[in-house]
Amino acid sequence: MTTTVTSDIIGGANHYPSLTAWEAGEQADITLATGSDEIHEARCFDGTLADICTIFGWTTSATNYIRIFTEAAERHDGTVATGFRLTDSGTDTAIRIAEEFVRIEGLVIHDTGNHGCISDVGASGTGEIRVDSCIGKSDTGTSSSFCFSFGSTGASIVVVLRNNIAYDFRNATSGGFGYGFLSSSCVAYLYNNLAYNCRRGFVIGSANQLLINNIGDACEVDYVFSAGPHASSSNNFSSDTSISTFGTQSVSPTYVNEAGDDFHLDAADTVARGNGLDLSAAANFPFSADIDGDARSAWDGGPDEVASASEAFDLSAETFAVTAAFQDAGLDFVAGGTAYALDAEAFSMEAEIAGAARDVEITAAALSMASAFGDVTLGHHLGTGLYSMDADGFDVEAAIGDAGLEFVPDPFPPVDYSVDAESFLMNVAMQPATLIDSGEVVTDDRRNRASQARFGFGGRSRRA
Amino acid sequence: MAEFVIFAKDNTHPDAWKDAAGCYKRGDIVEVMPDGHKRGSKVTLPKFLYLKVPGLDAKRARKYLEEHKEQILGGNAPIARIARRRKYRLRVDDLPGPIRGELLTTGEVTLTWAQARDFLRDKISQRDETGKPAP
Repeated sequence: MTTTVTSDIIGGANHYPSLTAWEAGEQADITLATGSDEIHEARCFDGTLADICTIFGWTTSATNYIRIFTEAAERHDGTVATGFRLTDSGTDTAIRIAEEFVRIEGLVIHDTGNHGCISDVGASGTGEIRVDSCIGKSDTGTSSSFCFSFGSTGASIVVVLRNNIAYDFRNATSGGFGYGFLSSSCVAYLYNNLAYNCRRGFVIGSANQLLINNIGDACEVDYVFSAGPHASSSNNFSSDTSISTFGTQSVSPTYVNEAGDDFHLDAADTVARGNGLDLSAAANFPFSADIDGDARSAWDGGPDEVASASEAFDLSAETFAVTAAFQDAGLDFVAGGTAYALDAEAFSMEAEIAGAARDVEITAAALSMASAFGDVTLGHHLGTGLYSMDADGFDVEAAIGDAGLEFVPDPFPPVDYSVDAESFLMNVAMQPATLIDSGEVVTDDRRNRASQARFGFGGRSRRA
Repeated sequence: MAEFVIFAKDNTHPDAWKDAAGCYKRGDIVEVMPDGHKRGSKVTLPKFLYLKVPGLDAKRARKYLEEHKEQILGGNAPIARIARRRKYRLRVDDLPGPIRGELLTTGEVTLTWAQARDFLRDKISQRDETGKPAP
């Protein structure tokens, strides 16, 4: 049975400080036939790594492959601003692949010195190289290299590029390419990629190379076909006329923040939104998520899928922070009852709940109220019995104005009232705090202390 | 100070060309790091050794990470192909006994540039850096 061996990069308890060290340390025959029958993964943690990694000297197969990836929490958010970021040290391409079966997923790669981001440097034989959800950017803005280069890839290597972004590879006079297959006749599947502001967006070298749902935008030339592309290429977009019959010409999608390099599709876009081809059941390398890991439904062009308006919202978080005012938040709890429960392990309210004209039951292990609860009534008309306010930690840091704590014993004779709290801290006055006590208060010393604490305002009490 | 991360063993591949060109060999300089860098917990014996050289600028010492490449015809044009993972290696097994013993026992040793350069060999020319000033 195939075993997955995962090594951590620049983070985690037991890690390698670079991809280069990982590659040297793990290099092996990992195939079932002659080696360890393993998948080897390099799991990259959030942060920046200056490195040049060459993947070479292994023995791999279709089921025993090498994978460099980020998990969702360590991954970019669709821009280069967040997540694990690899820079090329300025001296060579950041990741060079000379091995047959390699997958790279969810990396941000900065080309700082005109060398490109990912390139095949001599993988031969039969193989499959996949690059998914990666963002390549030229930091100089004048790079003459390829962001993703497969120009010398062997004819028996299949290259799969999905949901990637390449931008700012634009040299004024020569070079500067987003996706390059210039001299290669390899089989390639380019699905839902974006080339933006490159001298040449997509450079295609063979009819073996299939393009679907790609966007070439703001490049000097969006698509260059020295041969090909595959006859089934479709649903691509170009800001110029270079896509020809393989898509829609002379269109530019609307992005969330084009000037700020946020190439998520804007919800108002009408060019790429819903105009992609559904590849969830593609004959080869089907997929159903976008660059952010969000499910595709309408199948937009390019790496990003605009979220559907009918998408469900999950409010079952362990930690639930509300930092804005709850004013007509539209949280409808239709349970058929009269109580509305806000259950959370940690529930922080930093804003005012104004006019929440409904009964609210708050059952929280830790309840912090940093601001005023306007018009929240803890209203219990008390009958005979023992009443307690039990809390391990109950902090009231703001005024409870008109809190409406009404102790109405009914009937006589007097009963015990206590405020039990391990820690009950009031920093500010409760006023006006109307005590409606039509009964008789227990007068022994212990009860007095409790009463003083309850009605003396400012004291700290423990249960008598 | 520069800290060389040295590969301590020979990786192998059944394909002779891939073995020579693609596999790290004992003495290959995997990384050059500045003093005080965060060592990875997996970069230890028996796979890795550390050679520390005070006074040697780590940025300049990165020249010892150079690959050896050769030109071949790829597609319609010549391309550079990796022929050796590293052009330079530390002659670990030729180090003087006490130094070698410390290196192989503790996983690290500190040498002056004058001491270290006599054991840094260019694999292609088969010459050490003997007599050369620090890069």
